[in-house]
Amino acid sequence: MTFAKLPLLRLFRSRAAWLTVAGWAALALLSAWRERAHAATHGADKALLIYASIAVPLLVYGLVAATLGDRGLVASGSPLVRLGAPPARVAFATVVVAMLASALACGALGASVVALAHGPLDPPRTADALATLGFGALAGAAYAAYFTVGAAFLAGTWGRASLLVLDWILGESDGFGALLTPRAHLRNLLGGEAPFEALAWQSLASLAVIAVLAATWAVMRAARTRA
Amino acid sequence: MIHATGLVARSRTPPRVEVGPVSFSVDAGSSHALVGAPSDGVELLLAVLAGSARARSGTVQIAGAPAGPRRKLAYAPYEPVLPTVMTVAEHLALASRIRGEPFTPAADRLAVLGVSPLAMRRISSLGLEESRTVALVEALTSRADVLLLAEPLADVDPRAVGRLAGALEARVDAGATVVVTTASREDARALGRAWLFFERGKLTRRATAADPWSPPTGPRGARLFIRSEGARFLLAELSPDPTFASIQGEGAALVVTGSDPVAMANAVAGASRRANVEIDVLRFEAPEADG
Repeated sequence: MTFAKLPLLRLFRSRAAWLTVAGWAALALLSAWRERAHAATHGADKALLIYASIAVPLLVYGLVAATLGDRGLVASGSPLVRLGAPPARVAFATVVVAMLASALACGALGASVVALAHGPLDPPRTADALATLGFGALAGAAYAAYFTVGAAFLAGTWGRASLLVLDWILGESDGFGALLTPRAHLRNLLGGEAPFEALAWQSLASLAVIAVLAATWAVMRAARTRA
Repeated sequence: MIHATGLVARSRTPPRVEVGPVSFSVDAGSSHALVGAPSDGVELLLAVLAGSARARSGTVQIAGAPAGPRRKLAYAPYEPVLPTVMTVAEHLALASRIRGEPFTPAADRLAVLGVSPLAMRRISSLGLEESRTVALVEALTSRADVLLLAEPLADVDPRAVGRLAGALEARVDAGATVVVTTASREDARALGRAWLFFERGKLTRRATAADPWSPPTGPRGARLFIRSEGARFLLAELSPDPTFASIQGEGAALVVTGSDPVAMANAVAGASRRANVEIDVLRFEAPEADG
């Protein structure tokens, strides 16, 4: 908990973080409200397109930026490492805070979008909202870990930004490269096109694997780099 | 306590600074000053000792272990790396926890340098002098047995200046090993009990309390060029100041010489404030060789 205090304070005291969450959440909720106002028969499905393709990646991008204080993963932990804190534990705490915050925000937002935009031909509202809460939370955590890999290799915003672009380019297709991106798997789980014909459970497992492997890679890289 | 052998380092970012090869030892419970400007490599050398810069070759051992951040080592670089989102009190409390030390109220720790009112300030709201003072308070009031401090008497909160040398001496008397860098020979005299002089990255001279040194004169003296419309008012302010070995004025130009560049620059800045005179040009020039 000692090493998590700094990233937690960055999150809670960052006006940019709250504006980011509020902005992208408002976009997703507005699109859900629009579907509801038009009484769309598949309102939730349509609203989730905006949620998955725009709101989730950019919301998590903003949360990771706030958690790191807009720096690279190594530099974000240097105030603690210079006091003698183990670099690996500092990086681990930072990555976990980013993943948990992203999971909470994306899960709650996904459930809210489904509950608001629910149409008559969508699956039952409660079950759909609960499923989206789980998928959104897992995707949020995977995205956060994925972005911290970029932040562990490149200082400033470049690392995170390059992985955001990569996710956009590879994840929009249904080819093999899409399997490496959280975007394609989240889209598959929410009823969109499957990457490389992956089944839903395979995308679920892939998101979990991306989250664990990316977090491990980011922490190992930060532990080896001089603050 | 600290052993550097054949150390060579080069800064990775501009301005390019190189230091070494240099070998020296610092005994436990002693106070060493690395005397030289940042361009002479002293701050790079301090960063290598702290483990925040990498040596290209050579070794550094601190208490028998390779250099690197550790709980018993306090490093305060010229530009401190502090968690800007925290208050000063939160930072000091977190630092104690990381170092495994018992909690001491921030106000008590800050009182060592007379800056208790900073306790509840957010670090992001502090200026450079205040940030540097907070970093020095953390180092001086920690239980670290090695203190590495860059320019501890320069650019610190004015309330702290008079207390710093005493606080540092108290830590040395209590057994801490202290290494400071300074470009000011007056500061070096106040802070160190042994001195290592650096020039363009090379160790040029060593001195100890048993082998006292005097301020250099001649080629190593500094020469400062000043241009100001109020040069004659500056001249009146600077003339009685013992910091300067000579002062020459002609029209709007002044050339002053002395042995301590930092003290000279501070004296000129003070004179400019007192005389309410603006300075158009202020630059150090190559000192003239002794004829």
